[in-house]
Amino acid sequence: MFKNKKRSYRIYLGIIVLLIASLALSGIGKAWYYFNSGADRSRALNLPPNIPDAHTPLIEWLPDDPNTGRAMEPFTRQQIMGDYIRGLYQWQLSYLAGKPVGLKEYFTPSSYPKALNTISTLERKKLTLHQTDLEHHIQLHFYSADGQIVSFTDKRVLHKQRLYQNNTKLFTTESIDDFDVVMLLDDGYWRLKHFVKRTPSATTSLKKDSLLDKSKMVSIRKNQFWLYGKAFQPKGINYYPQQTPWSFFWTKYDSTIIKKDFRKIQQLGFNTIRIFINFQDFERGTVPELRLLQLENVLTNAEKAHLKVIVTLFDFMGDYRLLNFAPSDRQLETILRRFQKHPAILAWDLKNEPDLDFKHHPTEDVKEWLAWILPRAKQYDPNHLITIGWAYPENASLFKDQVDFVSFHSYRSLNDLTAGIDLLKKQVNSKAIVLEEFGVSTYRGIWAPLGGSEEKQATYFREVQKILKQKGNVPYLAWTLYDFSDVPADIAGKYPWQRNPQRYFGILKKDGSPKKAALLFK
Amino acid sequence: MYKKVDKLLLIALILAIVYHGSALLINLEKTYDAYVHIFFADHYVRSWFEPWEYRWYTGFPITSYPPLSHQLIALFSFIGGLKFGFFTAALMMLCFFIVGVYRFAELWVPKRSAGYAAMFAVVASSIVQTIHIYGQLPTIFGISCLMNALPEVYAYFRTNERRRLITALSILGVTVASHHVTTIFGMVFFIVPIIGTALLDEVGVEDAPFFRIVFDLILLVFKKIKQFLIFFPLVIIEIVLIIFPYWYWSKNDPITQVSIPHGSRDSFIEVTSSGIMFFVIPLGFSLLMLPYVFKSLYTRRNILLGLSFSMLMLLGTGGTTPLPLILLGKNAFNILTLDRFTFWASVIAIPFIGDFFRRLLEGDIRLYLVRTVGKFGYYWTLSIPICLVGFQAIFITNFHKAQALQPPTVDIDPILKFLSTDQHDRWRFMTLGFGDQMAWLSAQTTALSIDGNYHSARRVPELTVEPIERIENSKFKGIQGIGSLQQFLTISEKYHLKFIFSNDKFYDPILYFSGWERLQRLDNGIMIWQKPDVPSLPSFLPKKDMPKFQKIMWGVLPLTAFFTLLVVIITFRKKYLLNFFPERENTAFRPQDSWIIIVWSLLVLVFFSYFWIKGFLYDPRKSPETLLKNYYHDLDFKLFKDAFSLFAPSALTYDNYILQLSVKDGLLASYGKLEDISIKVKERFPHKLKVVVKSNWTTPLEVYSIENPHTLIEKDGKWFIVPPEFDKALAPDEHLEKGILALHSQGKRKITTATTEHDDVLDRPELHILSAKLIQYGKEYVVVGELQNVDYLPAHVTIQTQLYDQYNVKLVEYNAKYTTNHKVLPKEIVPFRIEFEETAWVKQADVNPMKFNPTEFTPFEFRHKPTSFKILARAVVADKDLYRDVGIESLSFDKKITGDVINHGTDEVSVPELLTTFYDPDGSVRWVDHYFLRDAIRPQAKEHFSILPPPIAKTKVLQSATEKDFFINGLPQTSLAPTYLNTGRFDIIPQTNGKGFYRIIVNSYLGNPTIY
Amino acid sequence: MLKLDHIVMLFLLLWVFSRCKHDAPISSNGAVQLESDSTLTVGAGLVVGIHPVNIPLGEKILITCQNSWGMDVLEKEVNGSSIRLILSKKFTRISGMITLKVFYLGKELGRKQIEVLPKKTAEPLDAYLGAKSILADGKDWAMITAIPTDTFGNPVENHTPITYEILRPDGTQYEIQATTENLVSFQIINSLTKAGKTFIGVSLNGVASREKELLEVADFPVNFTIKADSHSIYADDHQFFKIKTSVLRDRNNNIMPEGTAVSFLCKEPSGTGRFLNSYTIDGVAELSMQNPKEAGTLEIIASVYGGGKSNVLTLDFASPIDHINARYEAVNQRLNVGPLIAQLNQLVPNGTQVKLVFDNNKLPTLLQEVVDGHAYFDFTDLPKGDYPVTIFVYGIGKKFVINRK
Repeated sequence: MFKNKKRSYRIYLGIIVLLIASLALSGIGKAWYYFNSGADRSRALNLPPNIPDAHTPLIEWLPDDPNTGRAMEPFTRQQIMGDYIRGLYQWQLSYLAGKPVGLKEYFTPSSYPKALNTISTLERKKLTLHQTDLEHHIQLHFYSADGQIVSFTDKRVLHKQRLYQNNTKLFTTESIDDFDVVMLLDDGYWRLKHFVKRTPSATTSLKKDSLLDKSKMVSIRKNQFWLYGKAFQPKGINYYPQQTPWSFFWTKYDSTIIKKDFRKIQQLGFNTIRIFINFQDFERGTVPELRLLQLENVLTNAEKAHLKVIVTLFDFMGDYRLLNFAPSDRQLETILRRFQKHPAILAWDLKNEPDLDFKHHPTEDVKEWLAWILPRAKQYDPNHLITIGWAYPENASLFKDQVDFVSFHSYRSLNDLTAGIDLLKKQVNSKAIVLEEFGVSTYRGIWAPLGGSEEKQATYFREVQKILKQKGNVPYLAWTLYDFSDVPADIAGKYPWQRNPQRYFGILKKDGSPKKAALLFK
Repeated sequence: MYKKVDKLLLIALILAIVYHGSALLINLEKTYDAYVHIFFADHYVRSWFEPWEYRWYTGFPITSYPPLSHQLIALFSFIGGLKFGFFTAALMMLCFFIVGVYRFAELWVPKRSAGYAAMFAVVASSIVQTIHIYGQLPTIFGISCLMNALPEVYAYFRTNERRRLITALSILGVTVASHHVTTIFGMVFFIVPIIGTALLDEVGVEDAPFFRIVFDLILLVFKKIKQFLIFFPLVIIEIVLIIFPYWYWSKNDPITQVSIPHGSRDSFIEVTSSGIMFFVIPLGFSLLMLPYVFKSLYTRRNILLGLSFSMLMLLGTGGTTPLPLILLGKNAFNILTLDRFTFWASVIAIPFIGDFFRRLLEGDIRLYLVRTVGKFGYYWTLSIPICLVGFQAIFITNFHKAQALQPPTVDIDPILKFLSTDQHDRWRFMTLGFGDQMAWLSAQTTALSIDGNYHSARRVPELTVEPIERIENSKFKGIQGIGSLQQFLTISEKYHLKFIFSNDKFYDPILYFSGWERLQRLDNGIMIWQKPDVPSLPSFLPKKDMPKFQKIMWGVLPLTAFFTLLVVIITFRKKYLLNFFPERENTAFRPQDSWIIIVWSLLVLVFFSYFWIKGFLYDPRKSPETLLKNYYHDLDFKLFKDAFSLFAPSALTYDNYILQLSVKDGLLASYGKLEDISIKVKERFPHKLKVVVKSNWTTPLEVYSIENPHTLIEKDGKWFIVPPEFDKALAPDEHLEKGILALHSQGKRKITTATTEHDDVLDRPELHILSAKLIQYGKEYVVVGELQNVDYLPAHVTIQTQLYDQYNVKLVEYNAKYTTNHKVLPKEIVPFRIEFEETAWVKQADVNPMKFNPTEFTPFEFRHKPTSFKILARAVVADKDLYRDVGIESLSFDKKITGDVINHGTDEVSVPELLTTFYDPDGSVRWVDHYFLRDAIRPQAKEHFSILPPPIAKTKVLQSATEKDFFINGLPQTSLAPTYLNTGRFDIIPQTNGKGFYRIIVNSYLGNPTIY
Repeated sequence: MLKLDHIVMLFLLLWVFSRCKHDAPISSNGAVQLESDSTLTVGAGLVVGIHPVNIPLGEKILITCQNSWGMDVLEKEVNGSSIRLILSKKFTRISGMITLKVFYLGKELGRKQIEVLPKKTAEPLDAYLGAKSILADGKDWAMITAIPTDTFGNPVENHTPITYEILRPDGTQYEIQATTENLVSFQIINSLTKAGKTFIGVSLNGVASREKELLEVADFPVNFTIKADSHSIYADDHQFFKIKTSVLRDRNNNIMPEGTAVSFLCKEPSGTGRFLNSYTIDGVAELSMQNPKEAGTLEIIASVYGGGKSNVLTLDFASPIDHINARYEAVNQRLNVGPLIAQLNQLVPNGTQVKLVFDNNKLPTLLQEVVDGHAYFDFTDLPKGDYPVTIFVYGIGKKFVINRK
């Protein structure tokens, strides 16, 4: 009896060991499967990327020469410009990289060495050249019968350059020249054969848009906002839909929600809103038609709700390097030219709080970019007002002559606000000023136990209104309409004690019910 | 206390070097994977620290395979070339394996038996198969390191000496670096049982009652917990750290994650060839020794190893029983190849077989046998196992002579010369019908190939049935996520694929009809096909970069693991081979049990001979079904003598029959492969049967199902077929004379290495697109149209169409595949039809295609409805494949389109393709279709055809294009106005039902054109 | 021992110092005069005098010189006297405008532009012939383009005279004077009406280019004729006969280039159609056509799309047989059709099709081929009874009754 009991124990033990072993085995099998599956099969195919033209300078075809040998079709012009600009772009990337990058296809065998020797001289001297071309005015001279040779002059090419020695900037410069260019079509690519610099010719005819009746538009007379012939006192709110704030505004755009919100804003007594154009969502230099249609929808809804709109451009764009000048110029031109006649627009705010970027980027670069964008904005849309929404009043006096009115934000104490306004009034003497963003969070939770409350927010708003009235009826836009369920990390920092307060700046709760402060604007 | 090393080990080492050394010299080319490892080694020779490999697929990271074995081959290759590298690495590791087996055996059997085990290990069938059939060098690296590591692990857990820990870890490090799978699974099947046995030995298993042992064992585990906490974490760290980039990147590298159909997962009863290849051959002689092995394993002391051995055997049986599938889980089962379990099982068995031989030759079995059958009988019985072992070794090394696993070796020098001349390596190439030698070609050149040989899938030929060039799953189908073969050939400019080296006639029709032309036949018999007008590779190829530190880790850590191992072994060399533990004696198997082995061997013998005899007694003529099945099988494999033997006696002589069949060419006769047949009896008469046989044939271009009637006659119990009727028409003229257009373009007139001069590049012939329409046909969108070559030179035309949605965003672009004639004579009009495909098998659901599917088509998934399209046609001057002497006769179109295709020229047309164009009343193209004739047409012969009318009712015209949508050679067609005198059409026939016209032209593929 | 706060202070200082240097450079009102000659020819060295004004000694100034294809940067120390800068020959080898700029502490002090003129054109003169082949119809045109460059590859000055020498297929030779405009010079060559090769030579003050060849080819063909020289009059669906076109020429009498596709469309006596095609060799397209299956007329028309078409050629064919004899061999239950005798009392060619249609068409039509004059229909499996059938050969029918005993 004892013998077979022992045998049964031995069998039990054997089974247990087998069980453990098979468990271990299936565990390893699963781990093995985890490590050897789940790859996205489409990544197997690595094709040379035909990235949408990342470099989009202004290209304008001047009238061709009378006898160009053969008439050139628009399709071919597009092909030639495509390869010409791409060639220059690859050249600039090669300067950055210090070695030729994808350069071979865009230069003929005889001209290729010429393009290389500057790259090697600069590399030898440990210098890095940042260069970009921003304007091209092409006059066609010759186009061969078999469509293989083209000669044209690139007039008044605007070049911007910055030279760095192990990433300290030596200088930044700008030059305008003419280039006589000959290109050959070979192996499917238009290749640069001759590229001769000439003295720049006289100013080219940049087409001036006709002025139109601006009665329906807000204008500034004697530093006062005027609309329909009488004074207009902007009183507005910064607007994001409750569900889709910040970067979801455009990607998850829904016109019904916009219409509902605008009616609510109107009922609360506001007459202005401020919206944001995300630079990346509008795909940098090549703005898709879909986004322009969405912006148009916002503006028409605003007009129906009798609200004026301050459109803030270049949101979430933190790149002030030269290679970003051309795409920002193109996005500016596409949007401004498209909506230059739209009555609902009060003003274009060219950059939200650029002075915050002074910390992360060299101040000169940020200023150089602003100096570059301001005149171009005026050129693309002479009808609407232009401003820049500075984060602090002390910086708001920068570029005060180029902007139509000076805007600043204030999240500091009330006395800072009054001091800031006084300082600013002295610096900009009589120019109109607008408080574009102010507000306080009603958040009270573990991260800020004695934090804000609705009463504190209401009293703060009343105080601000009083100060602004004393300082000469300064127009204002509060931040912001709704409380949000989540705030992206790069707005106010990624730590919970920074993000949570950011979610409760609204004057309406998450479900849309008004807080005490909401009733102050009637 | 420690005894000297057994002299047999020395003999075994010498034997291994001599035997394997000589065999490997011949077998290196014949194996499956040797060349893949040589290719990887070549990568390390060219760029040690840059893991991105450009030459296969469109680039893949080489961190998808543990590098040590490849890096060693690369290092040795600096001395004597890649093959020398592979050769030395293999022999080095083989000797390390023999030593490993000897030291591993000392744990279970006495020293003398360990010597015999080492001798047997030299000729163990699984090792010989891994080297000489699979050429799997990493597996050898893995197993030899594991074998050497186990005794160290055992000693460490017995004596807790630091030295043992160091040696164990350094050996395991090399195992991870060369074959990580062996380490991971080795953990479960080897290391844990060894540690268990070590603890059992500590506790002393013989005397105490069972319970006592278990209790002491658990106690011991807790006592030695410190050793566990040192050993296992260190091994885990080794596994993760040494090949860290592998773990980091294998998660998102799609190339390696192709679940390949593998014989080792089949049920070995149904698929006997997999059974032999993955079970019988790896076990070989040890199959007969199973009773002895099981008996000695299932003792109290060896029980843990015994359990591990039986689990490995179970897993090794693959799909025969559902157990492995349950154990491993469905996903892992489909990824892992299960033959490695049989391999490990066979390695565990070696020590005990050595023990058997020692007892048979010197031990108690010898005494028992001499007593029972006398000295003379003993010598006889002794000779049987020894002969079996000898036969097994020789048979497996020469296995490829019995059943070729690879196409005959291709001399790659002419190909290398072609690739290096005239900048041919500025395009991608592909090889067809090379088997695994493709990797050897890639290793010798920097030219890029669109195909790769990463997982050679150990394509197992159905051993019993099919000759080599018919290895069915070896036909090239395409690569998951990159494209199917048809896609490579149709849109080759997307892949920059210009040259194909074809070693298999099967692909010729596909190549011709997708626009490829024969460039030249090299002197090694390989035909080079070329696709004209393909842009060369851009100078800047995309690559997925990897952080710098990982690249350095990948290049340095595995090698440091290897050199630490060398240092460790050299420092402990004196004590390394000695066994510090008392010798084990395993007397579980008593000599008188020998009869079990004999009975078991007879059983195995009977089992195999059953299959062999069944095949032998098979007489096809017993019943009509078997008769017809056999007849069609003989036709399929062109065994005309056997087919003739099935005929009823008649006027047809054998020579006449052979003449008629061998002269028969065409898509079915020369390129088709029989899939299956089904028999329907029409009429039954006494001793006579009228049947209709429906047979399905796969050809390179289409799948055909054919019905032909047969009459069968029965004469005294045996059935015969009445021989078929043959075409009786005779060609009227015995001798044909005809003026033929001969063309030649000089290419580069000045022989220089520079790119072609501007003057030598002929202008692109000018085309004119007459009409084109975007048509919706069911769920798919199709563009049909017609174009004329208005230039004075014959043109090779590439027609590409781009579809746009209403936002003018480009949805897809594709080229015309079969439904056009890619070569156009001056002033000739050619129809075209373009369907739109997506990259094949990108979605997870699409499984790796098992068989070559001629009609492989992955329809493009239209998320937006296409509303407009552009046609970009481009042409280059052509001077080949311009055979136009084929026409259509007695053509009528009522319910069906019927007629005869007549060849009034001087060449035999192997595959004629009818291109039918249907026009609207206004003369613009409404529908285009193609139809491949099954049989070839000899000069002055006719072939009847009957095809279905066009499905015009089921199609809807979405948009008919205007001139502004056409682009010729990159220029808009609006700017090219051909000087037409008149645009009347006198080459189209009105459709009988009055609505519109139709036209048929023939595009003919000449299998072997008379080179004029 | 350095206290912790010392270290912190040090860091702060360092940090501040690095910021400030960067931010507000010491503003200086330095200036500079640059003087050098304003033009030079390619390859000559260039000396530039730089006179810095109130820049502290020992300070460094940056000089950048930018030509058409790139830039070079040099650093020079201010040592009181004016600085002589020599630009290397390698740099001035590229023609076009050179801009010199001087920078001090990130601010541009002055710039000067120097014009670099190219040298004389050098061998070989780059000439390109657009459209290497044109139609010889008097309207088409091609273009010879020359892009002359000097030894360093710089394009030549505007308005340099250039001469074109042209020899036409009809033997006339003439010379054209032209000038280069915007780096290129081109000349349109209008086609004449005679097909052949035109040769062009380009030369520019003594420097010549390679010979260029322009091929002038024939235009679309005009209407042409087709004829069948000898053909048998019997529609035996067996013999072939040749059809030839006249020499295809274009409006200006030029012969068609080799390989011009000609398509043939025919209407057979039985109403069915034929599509055949061929191509011209020496202007003539030849086609071997098979006799029709039935008696009647065969109409053939040839055409080249966009060009001319031929006349409609009608050929009459008689039936090769006038009667069909057939008998039923009861002994081996088969119908023996034949011997089929054609008009020359010869046997009908092997492979001729014999069709047997059951009048009550319950059974399918049977087809057999003639071998040595006979065609056999096997009826062993046919149940007994009489079966009225019609036998067709070459479209001629014959009634017959099969009585299967």
